[in-house]
Amino acid sequence: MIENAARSLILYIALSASCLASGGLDIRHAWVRAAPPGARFVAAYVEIVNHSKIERRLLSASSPDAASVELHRSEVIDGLMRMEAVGAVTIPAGATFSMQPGGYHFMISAPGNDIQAGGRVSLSLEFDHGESRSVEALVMPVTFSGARE
Amino acid sequence: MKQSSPNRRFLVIAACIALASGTALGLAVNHLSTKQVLANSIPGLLWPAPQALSSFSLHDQFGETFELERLQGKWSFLFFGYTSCPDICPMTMAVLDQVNDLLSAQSTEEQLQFVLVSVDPDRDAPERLRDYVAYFDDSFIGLSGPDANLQELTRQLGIMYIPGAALDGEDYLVDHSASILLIAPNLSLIGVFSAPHDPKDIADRAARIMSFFNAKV
Repeated sequence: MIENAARSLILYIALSASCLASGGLDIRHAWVRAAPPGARFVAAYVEIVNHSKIERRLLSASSPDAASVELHRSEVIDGLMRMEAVGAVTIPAGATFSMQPGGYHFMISAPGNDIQAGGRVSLSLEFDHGESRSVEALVMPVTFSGARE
Repeated sequence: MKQSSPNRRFLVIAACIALASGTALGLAVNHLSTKQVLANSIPGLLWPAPQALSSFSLHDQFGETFELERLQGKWSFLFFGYTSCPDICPMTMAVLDQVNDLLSAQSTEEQLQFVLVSVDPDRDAPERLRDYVAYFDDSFIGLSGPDANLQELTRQLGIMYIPGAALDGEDYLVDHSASILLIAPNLSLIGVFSAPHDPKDIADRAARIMSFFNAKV
């Protein structure tokens, strides 16, 4: 368990450093929180940098490893924790769209799927202009907060 | 002049009494305000009137009855969530795990317990909660029960939960209060930690609340 956690952290840092740059969109720091037993949903997070001079839109996501993937946002309003599905997200030119715990995340439905630290989940992100991008999200220990050095 | 002497003596005594009681009163007021000033310096501490909890009846992850008495004599951290919640709940459970580590490392004599109260009784049966809470820490407690029983606890604590957005199939989300509550060993709601939650911050404030509480009692 601890070895797995350490290995996934090293992989996470290594893959994050070698981010895949193409088409003006950088997709990096992709990770999934390990699923506690019985959890039918897990959350995945990525960071998307729009290096282009036009705004881009993230339309949807899917995964061969999951039954469904939805873009969601958590927020606290008057002390009430709410989560809701978000249609599409606009990323202005030059801007960074950060998904993180307590905010935007992909809600992955993977009943019966054993998503444990050290594993990987493939994500396919659909953008406007017909652009589709694949990314391997590393499964991080449940205590991982996404905070980067 | 001679006949005024008893009156004068009376006046002197009265003045002394007034001065002494005034000083005593002043000290008391001063003491109270110092206490309150200290209380105000601990964000999340509910003071001067922490609310006393009244009875409720739920069951834990082993199917055992869990009532008010199980909170007696311990510092209990309560969080309201559910196992199908992918983002905030596992994050908060992980925070509580770290708060537990941080406070345990301070080797206080306080007994701590960490309790997830499920706001999704239909799906969170004890068996599901058992595996879920143990994944974070063997000592963690998971509670659930029928809505009516659950509301005996949530209503008195000001906790809300509302079935939210429907998902594919039969799944749905539940909106719920995000705060972590701290119950003192005398069964009073003494602390509230609002989101976002930072383990170090919560551990620090909880430790201060405990010393504050113990100094008072």
